[in-house]
Amino acid sequence: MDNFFRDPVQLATPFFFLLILLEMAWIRRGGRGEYEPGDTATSMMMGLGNLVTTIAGAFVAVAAYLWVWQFRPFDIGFAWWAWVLCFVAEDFFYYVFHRAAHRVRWFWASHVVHHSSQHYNLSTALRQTWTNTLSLHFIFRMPLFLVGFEPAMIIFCAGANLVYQFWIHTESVGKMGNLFEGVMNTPSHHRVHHATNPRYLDANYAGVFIVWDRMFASFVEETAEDPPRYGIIHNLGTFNPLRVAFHEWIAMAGDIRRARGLRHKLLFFLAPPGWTPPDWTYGSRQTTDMIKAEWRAQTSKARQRALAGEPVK
Amino acid sequence: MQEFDPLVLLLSVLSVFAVFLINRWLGGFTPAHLNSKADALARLKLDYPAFEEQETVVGGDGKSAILAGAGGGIALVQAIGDRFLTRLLGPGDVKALSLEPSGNAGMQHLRLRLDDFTNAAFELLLSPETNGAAWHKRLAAFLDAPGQSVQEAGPHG
Repeated sequence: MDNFFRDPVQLATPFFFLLILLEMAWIRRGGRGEYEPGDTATSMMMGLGNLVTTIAGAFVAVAAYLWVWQFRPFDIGFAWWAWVLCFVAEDFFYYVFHRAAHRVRWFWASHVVHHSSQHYNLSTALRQTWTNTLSLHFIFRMPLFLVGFEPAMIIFCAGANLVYQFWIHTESVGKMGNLFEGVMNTPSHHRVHHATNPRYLDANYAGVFIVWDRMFASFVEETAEDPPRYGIIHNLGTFNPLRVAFHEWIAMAGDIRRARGLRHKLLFFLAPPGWTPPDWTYGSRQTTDMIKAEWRAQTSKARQRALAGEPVK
Repeated sequence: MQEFDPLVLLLSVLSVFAVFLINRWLGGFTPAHLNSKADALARLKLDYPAFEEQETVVGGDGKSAILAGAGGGIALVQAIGDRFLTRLLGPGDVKALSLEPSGNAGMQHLRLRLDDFTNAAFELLLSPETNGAAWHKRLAAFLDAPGQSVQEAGPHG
């Protein structure tokens, strides 16, 4: 089984470090973007912890994958077209996972880590969760095993998908031409995804192919009039990796403990982040839908049109 | 299945530390600083556009600010690295509150301990002209157990 589940992310990690240093130097020479040492170190420690916890928890995911795989109706094998199909299908299920990760608090409790930096640079790509296995993220990939793709192929494609996503975490690259921007996820599309501007919330969930967002009405174009502000609605006041890793789980546990009735307790798991019961007295919060509705109500139509104006060059 | 080599882990941690040092050495970042009340309000409005400000105090070190809004609302703006974070206080968000002389003539430290896992401490250096006691009283309304954990002292206490 050695190398059966070889992950391209681990092979690419030294290059990630090198590219981060190159981007830092590029920014010092006038390139767009910012690095702050505390933020950078936190992001990289989160990435390191993600590698460790993913390996430590891999047996859970692998057991689930192999259990499902035994029910496959086909043996698809390693034909060239199977690689292409697997990569595209894996990217589709990444889109489904990613959308759920923003709309269901259980998954958000894990995924929020990736959005918790107020910076957007290559180190942000490494700011990853330590609770992947706990959040059951791996269940979104199970249909690929059930259909009959080779496990090693699926794991490789999933890793390649994440490696692709590294380079799009940058402000140093502008728009990349209509054809590429039309099909692929790019730095511009992903800046929108990391932004907290109301117009950009819950948009551009794609991993590699932006076509999923275009197909499922979650695509928003970056515009020069509405420069992205990065982070989360309730930004973090710490660079402590442990607190970054677990803050939303602890908040969710507190809400569930205080909630009255099974229905409200369940909704704190399953409703969108920011949801609270109508009679909630432990601080008012808003879901992204509420934030967007409030913004639309308070912002004139002319201003909304202006912000959505010209795509950034 | 792969095993993790402890040596690889150690080298990775050292690499992160090296990148941290290189980032410091290269610079290119400016620690966050509030120059005025307008700065504090503008930053708050990015996160809470509906906040109707009535009074703002920026700390003497420019690292934090406190804003009072219509209807008794209180908001905090606080520096972290080269960015700011903002908080709108809700009932029970303040776990402890103190107002103490700072040592400088007439200056006071307003300190809050917050029920906030990622941002437990808030501190504001108040000038002699600021009515610290009035802010203390406003903030006491947000204590999780009113009447407890309140410490008040100093010339304006």
